Amino acid sequence: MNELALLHNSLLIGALLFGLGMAGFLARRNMIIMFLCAEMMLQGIAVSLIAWGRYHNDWGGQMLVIMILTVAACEAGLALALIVMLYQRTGRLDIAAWSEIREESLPAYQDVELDEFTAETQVWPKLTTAGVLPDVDPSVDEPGGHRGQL
Amino acid sequence: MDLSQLLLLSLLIPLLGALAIAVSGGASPHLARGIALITSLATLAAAGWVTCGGSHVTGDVAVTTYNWLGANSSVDVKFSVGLDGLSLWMYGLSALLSVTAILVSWTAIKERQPGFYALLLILETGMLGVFSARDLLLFYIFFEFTLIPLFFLIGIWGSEERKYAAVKFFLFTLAGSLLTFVALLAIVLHAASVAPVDFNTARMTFDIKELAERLVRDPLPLNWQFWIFLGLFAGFAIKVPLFPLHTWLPLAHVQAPTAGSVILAGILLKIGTYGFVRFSLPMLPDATVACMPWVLGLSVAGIIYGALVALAQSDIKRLIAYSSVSHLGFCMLGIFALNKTALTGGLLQMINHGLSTGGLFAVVGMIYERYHTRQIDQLGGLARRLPWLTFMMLLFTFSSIGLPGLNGFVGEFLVLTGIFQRGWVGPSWMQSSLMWIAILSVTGVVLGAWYMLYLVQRVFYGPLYEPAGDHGHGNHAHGQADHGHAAQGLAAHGHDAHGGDHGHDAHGHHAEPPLPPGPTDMNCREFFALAPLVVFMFWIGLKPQDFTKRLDESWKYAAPAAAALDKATPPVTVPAKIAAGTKPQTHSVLKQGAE
Amino acid sequence: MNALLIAVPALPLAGALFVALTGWKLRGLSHWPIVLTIAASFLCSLGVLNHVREEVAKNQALADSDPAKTVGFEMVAPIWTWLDIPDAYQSNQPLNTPGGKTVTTAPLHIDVVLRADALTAIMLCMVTFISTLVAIYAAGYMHGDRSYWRFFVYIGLFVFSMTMLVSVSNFVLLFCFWEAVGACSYLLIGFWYQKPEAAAAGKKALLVNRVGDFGLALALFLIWTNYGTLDYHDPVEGGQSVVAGVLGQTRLANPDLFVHGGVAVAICALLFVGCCGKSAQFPLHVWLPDAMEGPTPVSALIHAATMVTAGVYLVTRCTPLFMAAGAEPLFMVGDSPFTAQMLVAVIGGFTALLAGLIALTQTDLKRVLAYSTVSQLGYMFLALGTGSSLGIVAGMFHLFTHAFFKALLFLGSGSVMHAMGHVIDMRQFSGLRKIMPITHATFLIGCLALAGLFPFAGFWSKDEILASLHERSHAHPVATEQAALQIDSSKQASIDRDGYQHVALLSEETPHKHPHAAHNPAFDTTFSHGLYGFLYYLAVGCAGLTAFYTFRAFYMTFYGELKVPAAAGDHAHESPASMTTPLVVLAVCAVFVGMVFGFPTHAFSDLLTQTPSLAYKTIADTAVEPEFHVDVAFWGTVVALIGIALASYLYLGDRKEAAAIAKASGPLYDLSLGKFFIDQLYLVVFVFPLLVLAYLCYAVDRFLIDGAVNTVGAIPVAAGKTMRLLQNGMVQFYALAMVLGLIVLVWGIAIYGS
Repeated sequence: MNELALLHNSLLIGALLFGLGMAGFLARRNMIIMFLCAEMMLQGIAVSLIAWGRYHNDWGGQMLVIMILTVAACEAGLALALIVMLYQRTGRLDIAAWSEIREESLPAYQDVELDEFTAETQVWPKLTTAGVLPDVDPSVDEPGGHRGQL
Repeated sequence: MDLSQLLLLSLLIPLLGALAIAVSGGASPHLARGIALITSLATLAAAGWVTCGGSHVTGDVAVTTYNWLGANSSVDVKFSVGLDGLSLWMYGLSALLSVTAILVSWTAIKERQPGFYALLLILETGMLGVFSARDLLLFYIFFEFTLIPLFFLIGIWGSEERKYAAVKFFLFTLAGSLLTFVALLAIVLHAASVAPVDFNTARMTFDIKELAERLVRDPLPLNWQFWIFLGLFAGFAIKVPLFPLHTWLPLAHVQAPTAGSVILAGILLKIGTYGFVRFSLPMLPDATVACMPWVLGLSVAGIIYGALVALAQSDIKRLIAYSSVSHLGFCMLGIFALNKTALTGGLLQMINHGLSTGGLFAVVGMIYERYHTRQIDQLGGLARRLPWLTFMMLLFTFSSIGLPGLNGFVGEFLVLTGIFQRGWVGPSWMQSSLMWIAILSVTGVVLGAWYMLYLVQRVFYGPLYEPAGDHGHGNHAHGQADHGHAAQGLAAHGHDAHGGDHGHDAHGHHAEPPLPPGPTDMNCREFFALAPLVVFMFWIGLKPQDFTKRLDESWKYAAPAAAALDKATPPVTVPAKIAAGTKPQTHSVLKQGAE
Repeated sequence: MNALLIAVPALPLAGALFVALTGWKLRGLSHWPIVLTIAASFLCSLGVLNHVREEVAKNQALADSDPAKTVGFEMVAPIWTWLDIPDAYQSNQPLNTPGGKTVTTAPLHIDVVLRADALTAIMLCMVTFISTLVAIYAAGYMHGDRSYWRFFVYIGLFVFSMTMLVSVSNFVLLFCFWEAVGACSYLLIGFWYQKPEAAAAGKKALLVNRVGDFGLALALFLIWTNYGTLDYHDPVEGGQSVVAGVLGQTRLANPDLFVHGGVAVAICALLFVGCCGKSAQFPLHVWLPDAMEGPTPVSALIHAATMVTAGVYLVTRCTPLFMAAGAEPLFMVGDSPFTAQMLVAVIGGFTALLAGLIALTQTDLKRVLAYSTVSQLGYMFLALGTGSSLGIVAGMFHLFTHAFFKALLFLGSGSVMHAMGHVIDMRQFSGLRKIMPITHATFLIGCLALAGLFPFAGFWSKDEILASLHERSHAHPVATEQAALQIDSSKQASIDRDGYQHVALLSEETPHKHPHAAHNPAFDTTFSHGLYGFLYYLAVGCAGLTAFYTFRAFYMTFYGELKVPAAAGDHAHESPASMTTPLVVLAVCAVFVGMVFGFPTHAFSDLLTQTPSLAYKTIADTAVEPEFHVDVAFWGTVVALIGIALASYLYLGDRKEAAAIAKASGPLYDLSLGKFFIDQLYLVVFVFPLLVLAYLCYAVDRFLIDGAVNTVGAIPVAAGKTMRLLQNGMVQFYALAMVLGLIVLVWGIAIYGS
């Protein structure tokens, strides 16, 4: 494998890590997960830096990565401490619980409450054995039965 | 103590006075105005001494310079103050009008007196500073420094719409002056790039004189000049205010307390015209020449437009505010005519307008204090009730409409003569346009007489008519401020169509009914607030030479632009006949020769 | 001598200032300082006149022996430097200096300089004499007025301004005092400011005068740009001015140095616009009748005898400028030029006729007299417009005599008004000769003088005017010929590209250089003769009108059965001595001034023609041997007698015929009664449109301009309102925005970057 191909592959991995992290950061609401995603983006950058460093025969890349790791460690400490504090305030790890800095006139973000689903309340359709006439389903006659809810 | 120290003192005293008021704060509400009056009188004494001392010599006087960055810095930015012919009279006028402003506020301001007077004193320092600054940065600092106290004066002590007016005034002028700042910095940067290679002079200088010298030696390219001119124009033209950038002015004037109006009309508007002469004419001569037709056109439009709109007003203060728009047009005409006579007239007109319009606003303030109205249709025949105030009003009106013997005439005459002559000796395009400008401006003078005389006729002449009810406190003949009295807006005199009610009661008939109780005439304080203005109005009117001889040297600021104009347009060729000894004829045919 | 000249205006000023400072204490005695100072001023004026007369005599004695004598006589008294702007005049136009050299730069140097010549001295004497009498009269008339002292302050200021007006030696200062007398007039018309009519009339007077001053100001600018100076006189020793004065000896000795051509015509026409304003000529005459709202002494002094004649004075003073304009056309009538002088004559003649027609039907005694003043001023301009020495002297002489008898008539009407309790409507009183014998007698003398009957003052001056017109309509004055040459030369010069005209050469040039001179239209005097001939008959007709309306007013007031309005109360008796004495003095003057100074002695014309402006060659050449025109005098008298007879027939009896004629003439009568509806016309044509424009401008200001400003101000606000919707508080939205921003940035760099 020549140096250029190695660079390509490493950069690809770095970009994938960065992209995954970014997608996760945007899509997830759990603060810890978001933090981890941010870390992942950081690692993507780190991989690219190492790749470039090797390609150029330069220690600068690795040096920066070690610095990033150091800073990331500090940052992780701080961030987790903040997350703990925030959790203690609301009892939730949801980032949407914190939207105080919006413009006054705009409505606060609200989660749409979905019905809870539990295994006990679910009525599953029963399949009859092949070749046997099925029973009449008792719930069909009841208006507003569970089918309507699904 | 020499003049330069006195000048510094005059800048310092008002600030000390403001500090004293702040310290003595709540002790007694009336203490503040006492301190303010003493402070402003002391400032007037210092500034008056400097002005008198400076009026007999030529060149710069009372110069003081402290380097801010050390003498060897590569950036030459200094605290440098001093006066020359251009700034001398405006500097003196600022000190004079400050005293007037404090005297007219004496009883009119009843709330938060310490703050009011402290701000007024700070404003005084700003005004004195802006005219005495010799450093560009210092000029700009003082230029903006005048804005803030007036913003609060209008916003806190103004009339009903004070907040809107204050914000509009502030934003409008600030928007322009920020562009001015950019333009001024561009001038500095360019001048730095053309600095002489000499280890004794700093490359980048903020010294106004040095800048002008460098730019005359090494003019900016025309397109640079043009953009910089636009930047300067934005700030100064709004300040003047030049039509159509004037709409903040009537609002600010109407809403401001009397002192604010006096200062605003008397001094602050002139900073704009002053800036044009100080920066645009000497530093951007080519752009000035290129924009001259437009500026002249806008000025003359402002003269006529301002006069016409003033004619349509029902509020006395607004009428006078629009008359300011009209009168400042004459200043601009004089400055941009690039003619010595006109420039002298324009600069003199700056002083004249300060005196007459400052006085008019003061008189209106006195009326407002007595009747709590400024509406023309609610007042009438006040000459019967307030003869001395009417007398003062007449004087200021005469000055404002340019009646000879008073100051207004001299300025208008010089401006128009100058502009007419500039047109006459110029090439044909300029001849026709400038002469039309002169002719149109004279119609502005006619209209000016119309609206001012209309005002006098409606408010001061005719049968006595006063608004009903409470006429304010402390101004009553019999101190009966609390119960409304009999002067309920009635014609105090019945009189028949044949004019029976004038005098002639020696024979027992047509006896005049006694005046119902109401506000009293001018008191001593009000008289002394206005008297100095009147003295100077007569002085300028009867012997303008005392003032113009010091304004003369300002021509050096316009000379580069005038030279550029002459370069741009080849002058009339002198026929060889004169040189050959033929009897020369002064002739209209010259005109044809020029074409 | 200079001190005497300076004392003339200084004394009334001192009096006015003294009363202004002490009036609140003096009260009823306030007239004393003013009367005394004006009287002293009159004595000083006499001293000046005497000095001028002596010097003129000396000058004339030198006439033959010394060819380099000065033109006329003038004395100059500098007081202080008003204004000095060095090198203000810079052009390539050469300016003449007294030394015969030229310069191209000149200072704008204006000295307050008093200058007396025959014209000034005569005006000074006339003004101060009438003022003294009016001040004495006013002491009686204004007695008991609340603002007694204020009145005398204004009178003192007016006399100061008027004497300065006629004695300053600079066009700027002339303009100053021109407006200063206007301001005094404003203050005095509005003296009873509580009368809305008086306040409005004062405003109108100042405004209409401002319109006239508009023209005068433009004339000043033209003079400055063409002459490089605004002084009348040549530079005096030690002065900083270098350029030869506009009306100075240098130019008078060599009339070619005046500016000729179109500019000269423009200067004259614009000067005359100013005169129209001040002297109430059509179309700016509308303020004078309204000015009668002021106290009657004011009407007599300012609006009849002195201030309104300032225009006549100015035209006379500027005669050289008018002569320089010569036959240069203002516009062409067919092939003939209509000159600036014809403009003066035509406007004067038209005003004389118009005002005379209006005066026929007015019922307000003072307004009849006011229109009569307008008409007589028109007469004076008519004479000045002839452009001959005879005409100008006639115009000035009419000014002189008119001052006496018109002041007399006004003071008489004031006496009537005083007795009638300020009723001045002639329909409300009649037959007053029984209770006011002195007023009646003096008024009659005034009427006879105004009507121009032999041997009263008006006869002599009116006769001179008619004679000058008669002369002009037949003769072929030298001036015309010269002017014709000038017009020809200017045509020649305009072809030359060098831009200079060689008028000086033309006097030597003979018609062979101008072969077309013979059929040059300017030589064709048919038009000018016809015009002046027409004006002559018009003037004769106006004499009849004058006689008629004068005696109509006289009969309506003093004849018929005794009727006194209720307003008079117990007050209807002869006025006090302080009022009747001036009447008697003026009546004596009205009888004798014509005879003493007029044709029989030539005292007036001999002196006046020694004014430098009227003594120089161009105008002096137009002088003809004075002779008494019997036919002119005859026709003038006959027409006046017809007028009087008609008035006696209609108004001496029961006045039924008068009413019948009024009814029969229908709309014509209404036209005259309504003053030809000129006021209303101006209201519709000028005032309303301007006011509409004013309100329109205000609307534009409020909504368009301020609207634009507010729109600009609203842009950031609107932008902010939109952008704030993005601040929804969701962290992930912010993150998304960051990512999108980054993408756009990277994309942009990738596409457009380097």
